[in-house]
Amino acid sequence: MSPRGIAKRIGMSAVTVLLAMLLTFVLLRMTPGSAIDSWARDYATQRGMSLEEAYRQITAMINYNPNEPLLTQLGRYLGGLLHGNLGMSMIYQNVSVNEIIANALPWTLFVLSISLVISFLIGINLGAMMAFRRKSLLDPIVSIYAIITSSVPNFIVAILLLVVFSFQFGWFPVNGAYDPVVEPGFNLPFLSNVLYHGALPILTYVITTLGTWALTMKGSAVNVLGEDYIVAAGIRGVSERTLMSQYVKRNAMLPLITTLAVNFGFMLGGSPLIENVFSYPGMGYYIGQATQQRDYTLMQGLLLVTSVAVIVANLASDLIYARLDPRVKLEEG
Amino acid sequence: MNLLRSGKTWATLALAVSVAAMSGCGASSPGLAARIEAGELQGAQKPVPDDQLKFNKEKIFRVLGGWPKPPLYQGNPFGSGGIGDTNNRYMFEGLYVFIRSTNDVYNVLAESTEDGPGTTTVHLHKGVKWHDGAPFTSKDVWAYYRLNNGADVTKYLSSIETPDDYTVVFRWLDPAPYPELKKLLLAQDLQGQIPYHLYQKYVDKADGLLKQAKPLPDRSKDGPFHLDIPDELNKQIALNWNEFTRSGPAVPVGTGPFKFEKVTTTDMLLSRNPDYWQPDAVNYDKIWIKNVPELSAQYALVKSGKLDWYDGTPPKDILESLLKLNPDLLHYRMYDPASVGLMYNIRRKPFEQVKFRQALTYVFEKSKLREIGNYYGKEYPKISMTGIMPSSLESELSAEALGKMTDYTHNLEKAASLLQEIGWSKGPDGLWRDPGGHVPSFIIGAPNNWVPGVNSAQIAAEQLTRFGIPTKLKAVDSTIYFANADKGLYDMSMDWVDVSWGFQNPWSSLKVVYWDGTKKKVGFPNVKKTGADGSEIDTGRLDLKVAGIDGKTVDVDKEMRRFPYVQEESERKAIIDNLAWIANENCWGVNFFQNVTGAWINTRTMAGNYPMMDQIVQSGRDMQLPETDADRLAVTHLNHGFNSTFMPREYWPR
Repeated sequence: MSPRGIAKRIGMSAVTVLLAMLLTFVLLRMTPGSAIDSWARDYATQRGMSLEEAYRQITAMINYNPNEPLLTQLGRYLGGLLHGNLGMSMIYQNVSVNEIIANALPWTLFVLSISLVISFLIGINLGAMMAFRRKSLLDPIVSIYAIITSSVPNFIVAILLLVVFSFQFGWFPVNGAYDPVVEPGFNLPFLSNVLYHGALPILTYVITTLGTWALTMKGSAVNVLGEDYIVAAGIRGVSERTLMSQYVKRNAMLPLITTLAVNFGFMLGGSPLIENVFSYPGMGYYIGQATQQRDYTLMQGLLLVTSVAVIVANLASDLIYARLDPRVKLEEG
Repeated sequence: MNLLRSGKTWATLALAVSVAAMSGCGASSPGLAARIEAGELQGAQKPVPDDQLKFNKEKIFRVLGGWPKPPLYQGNPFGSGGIGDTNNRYMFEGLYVFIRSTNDVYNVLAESTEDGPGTTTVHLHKGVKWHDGAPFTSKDVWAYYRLNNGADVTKYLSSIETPDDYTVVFRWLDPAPYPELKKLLLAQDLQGQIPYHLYQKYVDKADGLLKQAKPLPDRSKDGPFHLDIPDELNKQIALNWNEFTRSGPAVPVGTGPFKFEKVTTTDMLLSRNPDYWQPDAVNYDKIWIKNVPELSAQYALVKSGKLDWYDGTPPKDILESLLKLNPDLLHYRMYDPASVGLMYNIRRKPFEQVKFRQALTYVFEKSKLREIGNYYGKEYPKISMTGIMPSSLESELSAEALGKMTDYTHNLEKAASLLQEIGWSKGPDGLWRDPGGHVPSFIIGAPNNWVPGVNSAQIAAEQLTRFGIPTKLKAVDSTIYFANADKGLYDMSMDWVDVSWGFQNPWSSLKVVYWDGTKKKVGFPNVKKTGADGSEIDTGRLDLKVAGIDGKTVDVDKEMRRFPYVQEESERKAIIDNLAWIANENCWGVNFFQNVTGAWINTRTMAGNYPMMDQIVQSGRDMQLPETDADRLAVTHLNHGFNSTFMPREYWPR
């Protein structure tokens, strides 16, 4: 891809980020309810005063006025963003959104990167095998598996795993990212404890995404198998093993690279449902909490990070794809 | 064929594994009933020496709780999100503790109390220390109320004095509340939460701001310490409070029997406070609190014996299954001082008509509502909504007042006759028409995450529709439901009714009806006045004048204002009779059923003198509601929230 092409893609991504940010900002303010409502309830109970009085006192003491013009609110938000400041949580006023994201992101990254790599590697190998041996039992078994796992909501799988492996057999911990008895840091007991706690969330992601990777890879590989150069290689006497690994798999994988990158971006937002089932303190958990409490600034921050991740991942996949596929180079050139 | 055979083998294996898993193969034996039958639990039980502990050698009390997850966690119980209600009572203490089923008040940080003319003098225990080693003194109690000046009791006080480090004098306004109420007003607070040495800056500022306010001219208005606080001053007080709530510390500092040790997103460890002023009162070395918000996961933890104690009563089938799968579990039921109910919105036609409301109330078949809402709850078919907890009606109201109350027991003929009296008629399609000939359609609003409310409201809507009044349930996101219901956006609204928040007496529950939550949903009118610019100003004060039990007009707001100061019990009883009768007669809402909640003990790991021991085998470990005061008290000690402080004291590891 030419430098001009790259610049064009980056420019488009920047515009998309800006649009995503504006849309998030406006849409969140259009949702009914407000953080002050639920906060005022707690405040009134806590301080034994009327709801009206609590509402009045809260609006007086926080730097947020729901009746302030949207443009003024937006201006303040953008000003903060330019300084890398996502604002303070409206509910937990002494904690910045940056701090919350900095705490949540590593857990989501940890779980999703491992699960994505595992499911991708197993999925593409299974898919290639399915394409190559279309008359074997593997094809229908994996297809049925993929249909079932893609139609069952992932949090159901999470609950099943939790009930069987944590509650019944006691093989895995019930929830959380690590035990309070281990000392967080770069030490073996902590790292192994983190892996132990992450096992079921990782397994949930792997189980629910594996089938889709296999089916996508199968479709792509079947297309590749019909290409003339594959037929020619077969006639030339290239072994089946080489044909599959060097000819089919490599070429069939190309379209999946984009999906992999986009999936990575999407998964950065975590899964509120899975993370809630395992009480796993990732991005998804905080998105759920912020939505429930109408904590606009926290929601904005978390959704912005997710949007940026998806857009950057898309950009990265475009650039990588162009490096991997000569035809893209030709088009750009 | 081989593959098929091997598939069958795998399926059989998987099934076997599942059956083994679901049948609770890991449960211990013998269970509680077998131990009782073997005579193991005869006579008064006592803690055993540490070397004889079999099932909880680490002496850890394992419970559930909640708190803001790190990095949101902080140690100020008044900070946003708090430190979690569950954990409050293990780390913090008040001058007293009250038992909500009986309103008994016990001394905690108060060693003794003297009531004088217009004063209550509290002598504090000496030698009590905050977790950071600083001594707990009278200045801390004073600091609590000067900073937390919105606390209910401050409306009845003129000042708090501290003649020495261990004496606090509460000076009451004249007239003062009646003695029982004075005690409860003080007992509902956890005064050991604002250590003066940590929050001096904020306490002194609040004190200085309060000193700038002038006294109120009379008792017609309320204010902390009888002060008239202008808006600007109020704003400064609120800002100071806000700064205080954001000031930490990083971990809680209380005087309680357990100290904060560690917190993660899902687990909190508290360890025994070595400097606790009652060293022999605690039987556990640690409390391990798990944060598991999902109900299904909570039940699984109870079933698998991973908790020592659990608060709550699940649906019938789950409850029975838990008891069946784990023979060590013991479940107690207790009345909740709250009922699930519906309120009519009198701002909307035709709900402003009492006969229409009464007609609808006759339509409800409460047993069906209770069965689906909370099987273990208790319905009271005769009443509509009284402002008194139904299980206390007979003790709080006179027989005469009870006898004069309209009986709302399910009666479709009566409902039809009342509708006809106000000009409604039933069409050939079975639907009721208003006097203008229109078939109405109504909405019952309910918060979507309140299972007992949503489930019973659905059945209520079906009962009304079947009777010929088309009604639908609207389950609304709970973050916006309450604001909408208060604004009067629904024809009927679901919420807790006849409820006592805090202590459990008629003053507390009638306040909810006439001044707080119920008032807003029903839409009682307020007194309006004309402002300087000619605009109408809502004073927020109730404007409700209705016929009382003797037929004379009652100014409800006036009666409510008089109530706490009436010293004569018989006179107070007359007010309660009147206000409860008025609520029932005017039928502003319907009490579907009184909630019954519960507590679970894992008897494998937690020993003690379990309440109603003689009935455990006979009841199949699912205990009925306690009938005697002693049993009620023992069962309430098991209850969480208000009384969790009793758990590590009255039970011990096994």
